[in-house]
Amino acid sequence: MTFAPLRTRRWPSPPDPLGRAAGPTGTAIGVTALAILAVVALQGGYYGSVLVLGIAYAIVTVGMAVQIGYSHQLAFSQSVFMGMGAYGVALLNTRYGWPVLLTLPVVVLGSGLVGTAVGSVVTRAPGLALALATVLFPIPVTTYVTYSDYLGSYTGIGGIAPLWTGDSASDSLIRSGIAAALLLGLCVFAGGRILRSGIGLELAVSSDERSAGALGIRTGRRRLELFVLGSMLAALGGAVFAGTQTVVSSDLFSQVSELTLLVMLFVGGRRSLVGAVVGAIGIEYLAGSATFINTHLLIIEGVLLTVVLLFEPGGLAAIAVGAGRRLLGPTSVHAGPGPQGPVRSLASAGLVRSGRAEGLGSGEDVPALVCRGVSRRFGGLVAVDEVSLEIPGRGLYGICGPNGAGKSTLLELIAGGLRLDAGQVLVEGRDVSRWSAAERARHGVARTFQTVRLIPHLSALDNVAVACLRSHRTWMVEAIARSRLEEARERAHAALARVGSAHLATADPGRLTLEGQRMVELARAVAAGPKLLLLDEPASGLSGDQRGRLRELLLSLGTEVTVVVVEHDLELLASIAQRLFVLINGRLRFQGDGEGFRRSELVRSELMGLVEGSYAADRSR
Amino acid sequence: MTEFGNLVLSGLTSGAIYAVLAVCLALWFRVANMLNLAAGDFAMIGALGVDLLARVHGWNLALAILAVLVVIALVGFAYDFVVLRIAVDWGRAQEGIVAIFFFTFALSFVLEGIAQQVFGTVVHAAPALWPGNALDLHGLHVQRAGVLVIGFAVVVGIGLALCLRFTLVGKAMAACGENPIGARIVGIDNRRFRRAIFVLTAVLAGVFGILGSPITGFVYNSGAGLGLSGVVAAAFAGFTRPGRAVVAGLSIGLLESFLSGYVNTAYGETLLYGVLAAVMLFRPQLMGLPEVAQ
Repeated sequence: MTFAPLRTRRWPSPPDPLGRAAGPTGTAIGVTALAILAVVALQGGYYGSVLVLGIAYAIVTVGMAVQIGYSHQLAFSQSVFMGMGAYGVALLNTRYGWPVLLTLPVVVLGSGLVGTAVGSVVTRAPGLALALATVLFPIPVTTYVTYSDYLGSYTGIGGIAPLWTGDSASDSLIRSGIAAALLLGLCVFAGGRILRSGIGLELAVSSDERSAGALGIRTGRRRLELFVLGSMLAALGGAVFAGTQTVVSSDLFSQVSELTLLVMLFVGGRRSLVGAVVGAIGIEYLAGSATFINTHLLIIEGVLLTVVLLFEPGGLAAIAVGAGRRLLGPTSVHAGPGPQGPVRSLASAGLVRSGRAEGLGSGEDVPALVCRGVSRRFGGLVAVDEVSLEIPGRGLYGICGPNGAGKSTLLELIAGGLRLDAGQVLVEGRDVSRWSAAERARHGVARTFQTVRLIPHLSALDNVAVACLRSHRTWMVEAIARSRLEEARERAHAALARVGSAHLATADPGRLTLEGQRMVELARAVAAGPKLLLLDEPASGLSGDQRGRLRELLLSLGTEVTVVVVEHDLELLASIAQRLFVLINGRLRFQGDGEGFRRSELVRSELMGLVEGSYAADRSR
Repeated sequence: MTEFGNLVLSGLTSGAIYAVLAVCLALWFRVANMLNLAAGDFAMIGALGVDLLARVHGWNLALAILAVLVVIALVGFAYDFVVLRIAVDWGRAQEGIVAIFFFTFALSFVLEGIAQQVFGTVVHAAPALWPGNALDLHGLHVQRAGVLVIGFAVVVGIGLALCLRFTLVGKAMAACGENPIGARIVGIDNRRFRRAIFVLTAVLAGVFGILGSPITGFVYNSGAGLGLSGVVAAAFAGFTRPGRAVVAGLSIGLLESFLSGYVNTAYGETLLYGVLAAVMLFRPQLMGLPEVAQ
């Protein structure tokens, strides 16, 4: 059951347009500079301490923006990790006399380890279960802390040294605030780099498990990495909290503080790093102001959250950008979501036929695809029944059959979308029967879907670029250091050009015609330079002209790579495929070339219905 | 034996609290595909409202209860009329998981903020509806309010489960959540259902607050924790089945009671959440959770 409203309006929620305009470095420097200026200007007074507290929370919400805002990984465990960081600093400093600055890396790495251990369990759970299981975390932890004398039970731990000690209390506060601002800038930079790298694209895709699998994205590992990243930033925020407030108590762990963090993130803008910072500092400022606002804080937070949810899911960040755009007129900042840098010159890559495809299917002696006794049943229905077929290499191969014959199921079994009940699938000699869809994709199996599956808020180019990302193979740390997004976009451009659709690069796939969407999906499939290209009904819904263009395209693709097409358009298949396979009731009933196909009695009776009665006879069998 | 009996009783009592909230959540989720995280706050308003009117202002108890329930119904109606109408009917839909949690979470903040102003920050309870000392049955310690809450949970749970299974209204209600568009096409006004059930569950939660407050006591922010317990219990009923929600709530209460009674008093709650989280993570299919578009 999904949340299906009667009318869904697509929101052009701009993810971090501010950040995109300035770039990760610019944004980080801007945030740091403003924060330091404000800390110094407030002179270590009361509002100075409120601001520093806000900065500590902002470090946590920046991690949440990446984890929750971009990857839709709703975990309610941030307050626990924040408390862990704070208590870690408190213990190491007060009990063992470590200087606070020295405790930071220890605490952050320690939380990273705990986050890895916890995350490797919880991130396997589906979305709702993850949210529910983490909702429970704060309760036992709070209980434990309040019962533990070692952790100061109810009163917590006080007397923690400041992050950076100065001559007086207010001087210490200013210095600690500057240190906190620098750390915040670092976090914003890291977050910005991640979102700007290919991982930003992967995160956009990961909401659609099937597409992500077909593109070879290791969603499991990405989810874990994000969980760990969120935990580490939360711990850092907690550490800064301890090093600037000098007192920690078990309240930090509580569900109330988790809910406050979520309000900060949502009100500020959950898809914007700058918004997350503004939200945290803004809410902390409201909470710290000793006026009407403070006493009515819960009401104000609730109303703000409601308004944001109702009218601008992008939060204050999106409102500010919208207002700015209205005032300044259109700027170079695109509203299309997803990390979207400028596309560099394509001359070098643009006309090259999709890179690796050239050399593929090279080992002609090893068959490109072998199915041996492949079977799959759904309950009592045997959808695919011991199908064995062999596809030697480069060229076009067709699979056809009446509705419900098991064609698409067979394709899914080859692509890895469904598990085999029996039999083997070999791709270029490797037995991939037990591999996941993502592993097969990385081995060179690319596919399109019967109903087009593109990611709505990404441009066509980025939809294709996801397939070219090498970051599938890299750790997130590498993505921070070095982004290969531009390279992927260049390859994507080449792939779009390959299918004759370079002009669609900047289009929103939701607004393309069906043909356009199919072409973008096809480009996505060829972009990675596959060994085996599986197309599920590429011609369905296309007009005669469009089918003609598709025919030419398929013919030329067939000269470079092994293409398997499932199709209802028998004439199209018979005229282009060098070998055709006919499935009927899950069984392989015919294989042969186009000429044999046209003459086959079986095909004439079963597929074209030229002999009456035989269809019914076959059904009753 | 007596100890066992008392543990069962206290388990059933706290379980009934989870159960009532879980029923309210499950019923509304079934229609609207959202969790009502504010259910606990409606219970809080019920208890503290009756306390304010009857004890502080000296109203007649029955009149006070009636007035408070009317106020709760009006608040529920107004929230639906303003916020949910815009959120759902105007198509301002969020990603599934955000919509499920955050709209009513915001409502919970607002209600708690208002309660903080109106009722103050001291723990209170509504006057007991069945006054007197705890009953003593051969050494078993029976709280009168507990009996009321358990009875209420069982009656409401069974009643709603029967209604869903056997009446046309119940079927129509289920259809609203399963497939809103399909439901509208066959002439079910799912907006009216959503509103009616929201108001109904708010009032049920309020009644529960009034009945049960002598056991728990309420303060302006008690609602959030209660609501979350309800979410957890409802999760074990796949969020959609009121009958199972009662069973889940009572079982969780019993488990909690046994864990603190026989294993460790201080960490009974911790152990409980450990067990629940383990089930959620390793056997999510046991709970029959709905698939949610992220």
